[in-house]
Amino acid sequence: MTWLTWRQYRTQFGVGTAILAALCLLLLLTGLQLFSHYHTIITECASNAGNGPSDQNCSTGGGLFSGGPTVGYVSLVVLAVPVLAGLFLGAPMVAAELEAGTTRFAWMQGITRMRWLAVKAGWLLLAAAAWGGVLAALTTWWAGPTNAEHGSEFYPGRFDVLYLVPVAYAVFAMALGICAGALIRRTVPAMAVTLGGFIGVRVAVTLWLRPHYVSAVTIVRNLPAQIQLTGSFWQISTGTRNPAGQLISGGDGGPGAFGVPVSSLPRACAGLADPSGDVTPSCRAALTGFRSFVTYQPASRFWTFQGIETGVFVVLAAILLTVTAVVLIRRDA
Amino acid sequence: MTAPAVPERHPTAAVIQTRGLVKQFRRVTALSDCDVTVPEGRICALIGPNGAGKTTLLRLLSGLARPTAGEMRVLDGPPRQDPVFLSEVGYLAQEIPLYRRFTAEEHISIGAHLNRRWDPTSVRDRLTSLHIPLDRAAGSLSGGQRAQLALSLTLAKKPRLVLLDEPVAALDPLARRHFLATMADAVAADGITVVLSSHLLADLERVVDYLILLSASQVQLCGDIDTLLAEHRVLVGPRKDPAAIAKTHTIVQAVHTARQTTLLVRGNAPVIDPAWESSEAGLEEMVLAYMGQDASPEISHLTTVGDEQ
Repeated sequence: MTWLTWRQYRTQFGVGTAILAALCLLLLLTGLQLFSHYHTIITECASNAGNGPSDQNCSTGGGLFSGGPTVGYVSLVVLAVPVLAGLFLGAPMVAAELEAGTTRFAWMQGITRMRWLAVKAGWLLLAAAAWGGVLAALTTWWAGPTNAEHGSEFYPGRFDVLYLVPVAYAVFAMALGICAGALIRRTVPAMAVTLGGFIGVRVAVTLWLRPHYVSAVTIVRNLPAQIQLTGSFWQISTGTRNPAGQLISGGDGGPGAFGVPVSSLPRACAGLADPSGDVTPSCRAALTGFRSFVTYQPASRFWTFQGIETGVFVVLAAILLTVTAVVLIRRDA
Repeated sequence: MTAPAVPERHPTAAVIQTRGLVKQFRRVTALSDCDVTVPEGRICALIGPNGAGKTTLLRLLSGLARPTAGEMRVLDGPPRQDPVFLSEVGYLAQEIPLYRRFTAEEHISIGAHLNRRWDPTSVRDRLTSLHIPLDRAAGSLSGGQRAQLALSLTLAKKPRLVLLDEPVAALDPLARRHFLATMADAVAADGITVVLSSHLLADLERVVDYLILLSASQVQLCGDIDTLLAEHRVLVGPRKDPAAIAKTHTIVQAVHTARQTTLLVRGNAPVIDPAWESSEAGLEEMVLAYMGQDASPEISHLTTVGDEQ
């Protein structure tokens, strides 16, 4: 069965390896560039250290990584890549054989359908894990400077391309492809469902499930005191509430003071249009009852979240494969 | 179920036995109340018009499909997904499924990897003698060559029972003869049981000795061909109502022309009325009479026009 799997997929394995090699080359080239740039800046900052901390370049890394197109494109590519193996190897695994009728050949040889599925799916899942793993390892290396600069590895979009989770995504995509192919029995629709399903589940988990793996921490401070958090935490929401408990602003920045438009603050604080201006005693008194808050996942939970997210997708993959096995055994060939 | 079966334990045992077999696809009944028996070592023709349920019956027997109701015994038990059963049943689907991009030699390797018993030499010898290249992709072979390759692969498993679905439909007359000769050789050499389906008996008449006749999802006839023929007669007489005959015989078919009536009847009771001239029924005659019996006009048209190439 292993021989048959290899014979059937050697072309695809070859193409996959070539694509992976091309991606690796892209990451390697841009990564080396990022590293050298980053080190230049670090060195410059170190040599300028005596000249004062106000050097803009040193606190932002020269703006190199903030929204640079290279970073954006590479992140997008790496986000999309795990699904490819599921699309082009997973979806056709059962569906293409059903379409060609070769299941009636394969399933009448001296091995059971269970065995056929187990060996074939096993190798493809392994290939998917390797595909995701190589990519994750390289991306993690590649993203080193940006993470060091921004501390953003816990954020959606970044969290998703680092360390363990890409492996789980690739395995899930493969299982989804196999299951869709077995249920729908036609390759192209199965591929469409795999793509849609993968995007849907990833978005749903990222938006609605991941923030709740562990209850988020909320810090509340009375204005004018400010909340200062450091490290790679994941900020889920932030804002300011007035004494009545109403949210008077969300998000970060914005005109005014304390992240709140001056018009929403007590009149006594009108003089605060200049953000660096000191808080007058009358304003300070008027701010009583105004509270700012930050809800976030602390940096220390990063690995817990990686583990839970990996677990979620591995369990989903296991469910899909169980469904596939049941369908193949019970349905007529 | 785990011990290897001993082939000639019961020389007269039925290799196939079904009782009340039903297969339903949503609202369509593909097979209803099917009772058939095929003894060991026979070559059985499964005959019936298109859509009669032949493919369905073969798929049920092979275990590829599951019945809606009824019981079957194939070899030593119900068809099932276990290596012992699978290695003893050879099945060749109508579409001749092969991996298009794999060569004959690669198909032989697949068989070697997936089967406990495997005889690669027989495949190579047969294909070589038919001048079928072993190193060309199956997709580039002709229909006849593909059928020969698929049959050879089916037989290379050394199965005790071979189920072939319309194996000669795609073949020209010469390839047909080669194919049936290949099969007959294998049967003679290994004493296997074969069931092969066709919508025309003429295709298979020379090699088969047992008959299952399906029409409109029902089994019309099942038995040894000689025995069946001995049970049927053709009566020709002046045109009249065959009510008197119906008391002693089952009238399978009655054809009336302006002056005479021709009956095909089942039953060996003597015909007393001297007006009827009795003769033995021919195989083709008997089969066509049963096929026409409760088939729609469309179906009987198909069966009389014959094999569309």
